[in-house]
Amino acid sequence: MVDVLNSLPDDVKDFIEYKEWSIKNPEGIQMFMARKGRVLPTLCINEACLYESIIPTLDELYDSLIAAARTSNQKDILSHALKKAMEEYE
Amino acid sequence: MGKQAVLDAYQGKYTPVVPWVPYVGVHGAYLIGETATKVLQDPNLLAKAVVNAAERYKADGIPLVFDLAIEAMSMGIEAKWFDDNPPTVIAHPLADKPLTEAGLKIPGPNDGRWPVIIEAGKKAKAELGDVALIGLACGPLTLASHLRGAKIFTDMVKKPELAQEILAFAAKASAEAARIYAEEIGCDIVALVEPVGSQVRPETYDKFVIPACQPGLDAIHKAGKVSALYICGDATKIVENMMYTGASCVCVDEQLNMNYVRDGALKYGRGFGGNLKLTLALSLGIVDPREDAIVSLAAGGKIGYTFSPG
Repeated sequence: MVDVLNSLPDDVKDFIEYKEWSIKNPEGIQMFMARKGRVLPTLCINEACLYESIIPTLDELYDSLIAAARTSNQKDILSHALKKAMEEYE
Repeated sequence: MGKQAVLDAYQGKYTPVVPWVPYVGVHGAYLIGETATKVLQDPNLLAKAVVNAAERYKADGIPLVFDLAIEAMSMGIEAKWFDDNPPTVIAHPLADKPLTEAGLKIPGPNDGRWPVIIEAGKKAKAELGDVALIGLACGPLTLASHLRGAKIFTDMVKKPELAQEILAFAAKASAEAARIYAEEIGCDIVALVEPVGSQVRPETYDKFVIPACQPGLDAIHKAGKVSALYICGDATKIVENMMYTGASCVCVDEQLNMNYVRDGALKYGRGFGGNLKLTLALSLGIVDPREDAIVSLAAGGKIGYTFSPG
């Protein structure tokens, strides 16, 4: 699941901080409980568990990131990246 | 130890005693004081690790190797080795290149890592005695995700013809791996392993994954061996779909409710396996492993059930 985040372009990764938590250590378990996780793997964005055992398509992921963006500049970069990613599917 | 019990349970039959199949993986390397990197590249050490683990854990069946990078690495795809884990594929040749230009070919028994795995498998089989040897082939969706990267999950929705093309290629490679385990090594059971299979929607699983599993299952059945599907993650939404894929047995992760899996298996006449809590019980000790085992055994019953980690 984390591969879908790794595949994002660099200009998007510049302002997105993402981390993979392992359930095999106490820190990861605490994070899972704090986020009220239900299943593994789960992709959370801004503390909300959005994708529970589902790998999102790129457009689903971008839509979620755009909705979670904190500045208009971030939204612009994400919208541009989404458009570019979808060119392959036109 | 009871190879026949494992074969019977994997085919959905009654067994007087529930068979036990620990998925030892690279833990087997640790048990003989070696690293995963070393054991996975040395046929003598790999065979030693498997036989030692089977004896130590009084196994009725045991996988030869739990390493889903073998097929991709044998195509020449780059991977990273770890001393305490199986290797991870780190390059995706079809991410930006079509299949026709990538120069990939289906790896056969003389290619890449296969000679080491085959030699180890033959040695282990000769030494195991009354223990079922299980071959684990990388499932077609997982292999397609190695080849194409995360884009394969968008392809299946946005560009299904491309997804079908990549999955058809992956299915052939997965089937050749299954054939090698069944025919060249002589494994008693061969499973297609799909760790990412639980992370797609049921309709996607039916449309793409079930057809892609057929070449592998055909190869196993043609060799006269017993087939299985192994899945990781919360596969609750597709576990019934897995029951009608055509495999004899379905083995699941610790996150699934074993009563639900059992009812599905009984409905379709399949074997099923799981799901001792690998993380919560065996790794972290948050749940008592003994109590967890009793819960699994009570839920599983004696018809078609194999006790395994989840």
